[in-house]
Amino acid sequence: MTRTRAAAVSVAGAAVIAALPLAIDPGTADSQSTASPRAAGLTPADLEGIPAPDRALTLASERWQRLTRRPIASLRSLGGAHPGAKSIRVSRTRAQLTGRNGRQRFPYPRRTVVVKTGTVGGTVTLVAIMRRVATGGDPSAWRYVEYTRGGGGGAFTRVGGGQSLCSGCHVSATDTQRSDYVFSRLGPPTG
Amino acid sequence: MRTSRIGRAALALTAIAALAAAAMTGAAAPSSARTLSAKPGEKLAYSVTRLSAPAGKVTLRMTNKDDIAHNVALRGKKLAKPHLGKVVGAGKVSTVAVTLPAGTYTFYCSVFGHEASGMRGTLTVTR
Repeated sequence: MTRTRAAAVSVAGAAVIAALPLAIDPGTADSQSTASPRAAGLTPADLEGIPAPDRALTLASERWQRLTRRPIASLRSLGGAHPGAKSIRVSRTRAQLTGRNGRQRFPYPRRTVVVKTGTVGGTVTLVAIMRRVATGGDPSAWRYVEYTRGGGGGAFTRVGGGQSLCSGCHVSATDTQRSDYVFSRLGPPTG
Repeated sequence: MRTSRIGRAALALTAIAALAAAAMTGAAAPSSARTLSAKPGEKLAYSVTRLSAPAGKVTLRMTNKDDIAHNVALRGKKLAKPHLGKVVGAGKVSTVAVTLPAGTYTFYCSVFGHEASGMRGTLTVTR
């Protein structure tokens, strides 16, 4: 009887844990896809204020592999962080990110770059870039930079707070989802 | 008579030296240089995507015509590890020089995300 109860608790716990990724990772859930922010066609003028190296990377990232099949909605669990409908791209091909079974492998290879753009009312208001600068599971293996601006446009400014601000939240993508500090996972192939 | 012997000896030595020099030149691996550039305007692209060279010492010289930092690097199955040129700013030259057997290699910019964005090409080395 006690064993049965323990097993039930265990199963329930497992179910909660299994549900957690869905709660904070709508990237693979089509039902949470929203809006239709400009998926492509960024110009340098759209990224005023962002330093040239990151601006070039952001523009080029439109040719990279999408991490999520469609732009995704704001994440309730993140509160005000990363506002807008997001498009997330990764500097690796699908083949480089998946195993023989077609499922995404973790961790990401060293030197991987993830670029997220957030759009509000047709205006890009967020650019967040993650760079995997080292192997291993230490939070310092990823470097973060984020730029934001108001919905009315204008120049982007770099978000303060530094590495700890970003990694403090992204660590849960590893602890909870086992997805190497990146909340969104590679969506299913299109077509 | 004595002068004549010395003269003949000198001629012989000269001939041997010339032959040795010719032999050394013939035995040495050929050396070739190829040039490319990073396109201006933050395009994250090189001026060329294909290069070829004979086997031997190959030098790639990349002139950075962009405003952001780039380099040229080289990798291939016949290389134990990638060879990285120095990351350089606008107007500077990044160079990588490697002795290569025949085969196919990839030259690329090793700055984060630049290869994925298109800064890469194929170097074909022929016998």
